[in-house]
Amino acid sequence: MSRNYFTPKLTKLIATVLVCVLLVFLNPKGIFNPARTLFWTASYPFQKTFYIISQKTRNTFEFLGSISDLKAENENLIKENNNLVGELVGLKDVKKTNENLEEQLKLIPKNKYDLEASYVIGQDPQKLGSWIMIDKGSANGIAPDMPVIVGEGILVGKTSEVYPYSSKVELLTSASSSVNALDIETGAKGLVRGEYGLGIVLDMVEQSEVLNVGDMVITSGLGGNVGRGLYIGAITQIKTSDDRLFQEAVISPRIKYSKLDVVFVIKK
Amino acid sequence: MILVAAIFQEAAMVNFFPALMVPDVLLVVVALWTARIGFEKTWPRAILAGLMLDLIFFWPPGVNIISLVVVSYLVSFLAKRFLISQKGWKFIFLVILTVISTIILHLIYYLVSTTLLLSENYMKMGAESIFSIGIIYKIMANLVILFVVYWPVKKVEDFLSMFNQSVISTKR
Repeated sequence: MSRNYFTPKLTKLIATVLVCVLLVFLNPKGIFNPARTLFWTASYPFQKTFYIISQKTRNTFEFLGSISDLKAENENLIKENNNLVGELVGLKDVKKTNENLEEQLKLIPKNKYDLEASYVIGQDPQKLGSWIMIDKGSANGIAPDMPVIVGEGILVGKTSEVYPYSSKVELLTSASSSVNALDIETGAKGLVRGEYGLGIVLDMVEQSEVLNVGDMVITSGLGGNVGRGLYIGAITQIKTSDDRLFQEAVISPRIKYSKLDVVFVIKK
Repeated sequence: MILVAAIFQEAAMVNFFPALMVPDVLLVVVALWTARIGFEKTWPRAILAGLMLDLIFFWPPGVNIISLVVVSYLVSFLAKRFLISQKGWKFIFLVILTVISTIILHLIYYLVSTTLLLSENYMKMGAESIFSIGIIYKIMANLVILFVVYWPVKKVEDFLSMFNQSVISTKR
């Protein structure tokens, strides 16, 4: 008697896999968007609660773990403070020069932004610096492709998908992210793109342009919604592209994307 | 419970585990369910869990469904043959199952992302961890989650089976 290999279990498995392979292969654009919108809307309160509680718990543990280092840290801070007082005098002069430079470069004055403060409520579980979720969405006037900053204008990414009460922010380190940028010291223009969540590079810089290690890179304001003058990071390494047509610079961002808690979306 | 586990994985775990070590909470839960109640009862939950993960990861719908259903089938295959009644050995077997499930899950991610040429780079990155030290970290993180969720999952299952029995007896 021949043995029946197609047991109900195996039939269910094969049917599910076939349907899913078809779904993945065809990848019908937008077919699951209503489901995704519903999911993010329904999960928003849980997500925000979980994220904030877990972040506070982690911070508490980190604080408890650092208590033993506090004395040494305090002594270092006192020394550092004394040095900084000296440096402050010199910086007043630099400030004036900086103001002149800003005016020459026509950077956007920070107080002219229409900012929407948002909490980070989730991030890529694969932890590759690809994206974060924030607690503001279309109900707060957020739209796709808006720049997202921290502090005094440090660009971290752009909104990509917007739901009623939450939005997905594609970080600069994401492979699908690209922003026009320039070297503030030399004026060299290029394209900042992510390196699979691991870092940022300033790419497509012509060989005739000058790049130096330590130079600051800002957004150039060319194309897209990202205005000029948002800080991206400092150059740490300069390379030539494989085809030797362009230069490439590795950029070190000033902030750790995995530690973000509050960000600002530039609405205008 | 699936929704809570999915959100927990995306919103809470990222704050406790370092890069490339964020545990696959739903994978562990699905493997546990399968070992306890079998593939027949688990596969609809595996589909739902997979869909949740696809929605959360922003991946094309289907990738995680395939992964979790295949993992569930293989766990059920192994559990039927090797699951031991003695408590201590049973738990050790669950540990082995979790290790195997993690490897299978990431192998499927890799196969799906390479054979179907998906454009999502972050997904490819995640898949590559199968051939790196990252998979060892993932296994360790998943084992931590196994210890954490083993008891709650067991209690919830016991409660649900008791609830179902009482509903059936009331109807009669």
